[in-house]
Amino acid sequence: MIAAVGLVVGVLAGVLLQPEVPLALQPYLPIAVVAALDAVFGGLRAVLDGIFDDKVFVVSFLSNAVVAALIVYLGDQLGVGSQLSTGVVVVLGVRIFSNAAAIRRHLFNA
Amino acid sequence: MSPVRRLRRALHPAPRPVDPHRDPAASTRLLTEVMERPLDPGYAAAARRRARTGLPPTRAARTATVLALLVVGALLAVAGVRAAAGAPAADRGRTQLAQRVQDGTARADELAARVSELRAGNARLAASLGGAPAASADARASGLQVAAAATAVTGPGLSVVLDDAATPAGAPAPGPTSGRVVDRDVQLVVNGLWAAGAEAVAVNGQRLGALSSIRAAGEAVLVDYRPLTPPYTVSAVGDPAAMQTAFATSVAGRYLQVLRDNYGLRAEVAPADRLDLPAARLDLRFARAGAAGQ
Repeated sequence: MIAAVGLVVGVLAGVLLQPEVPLALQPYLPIAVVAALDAVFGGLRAVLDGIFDDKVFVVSFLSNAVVAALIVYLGDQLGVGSQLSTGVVVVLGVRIFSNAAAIRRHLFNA
Repeated sequence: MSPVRRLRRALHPAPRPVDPHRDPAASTRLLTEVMERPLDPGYAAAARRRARTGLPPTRAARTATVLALLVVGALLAVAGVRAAAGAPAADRGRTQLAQRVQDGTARADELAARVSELRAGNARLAASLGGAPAASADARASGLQVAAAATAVTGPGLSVVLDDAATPAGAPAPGPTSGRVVDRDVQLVVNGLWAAGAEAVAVNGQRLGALSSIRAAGEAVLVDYRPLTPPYTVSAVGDPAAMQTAFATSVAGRYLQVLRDNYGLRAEVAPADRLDLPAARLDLRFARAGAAGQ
């Protein structure tokens, strides 16, 4: 419950404060969003499975974001940034979809 | 075995027998894993560990989760706001272009400032040298214009007035040129003034340049093919005192004295505070400017 409140407060803070994203970090924003969504859906599914663990959630969120940003940064340096971004988005997108499917099965038994 | 056959064998090896125990879907195992087990296996491991130890989640871990979710929410919000504000990719390109424009402008300003700084340094150095070689191109060009008599000049100087000897009315002239100012007299006076340090010379308002001539036609003195009438006023711009001294002691000065004493010619040398000399006529029909060596 308090976790959901934290999420809502975060959204409100982002909308109201509108923090300026530094120019150097802007290319990583979409990737960071996808990585964060992956962690959130994974955590949600774990909650529904009854095996949620705070430490695993935090670590997976942070490592997801860092590794995704690292891959994109590396791709940018090598000149294949858009391709690597696509790869990251595909992998994380597939995970999000199947986690969402598991959540759907839990919630709607369908 | 010949080398050719060995090479051929190496290039076309015999097909290997298929391993019967090999998983036919091994190449797609990664995809299958991604699809089948998207959940972090860490959750299951942590659940097993918790079940074994029976410890409740700590408060710090709960706080970390809330903080992480806070960050996730803020991230989503910022991304959403940015997406709503405009296409992020186009925005990024425009921002980068604007950044480049700003960088280029700043660099151009910097270079312009440096140019003026260096110019000022050059001017300072030229001033400290104080010599003609270091003078600026403009000053040099105007100096050349004055020296070439291409421009009117003004300044202090010396004026020498020559006039024929006063002949008593009715008395016959002793000779055709006796008592008259001839072209040779004017030439000598002009040369004497140049030698005395004149910077610009004119005869009866005819500025003398590099192309000027002083000659005679009959009894008239011609400067640049224009006949002049006496008295002849030779105006020279320069240091009046220094020129007067130098002129008086020169050959021309002594010659004038002889003319005055022996032939009664009237010659007056007087300093002037301000002389206005026009530009000389410079009609070039054949000569063209060209770099040395061409």
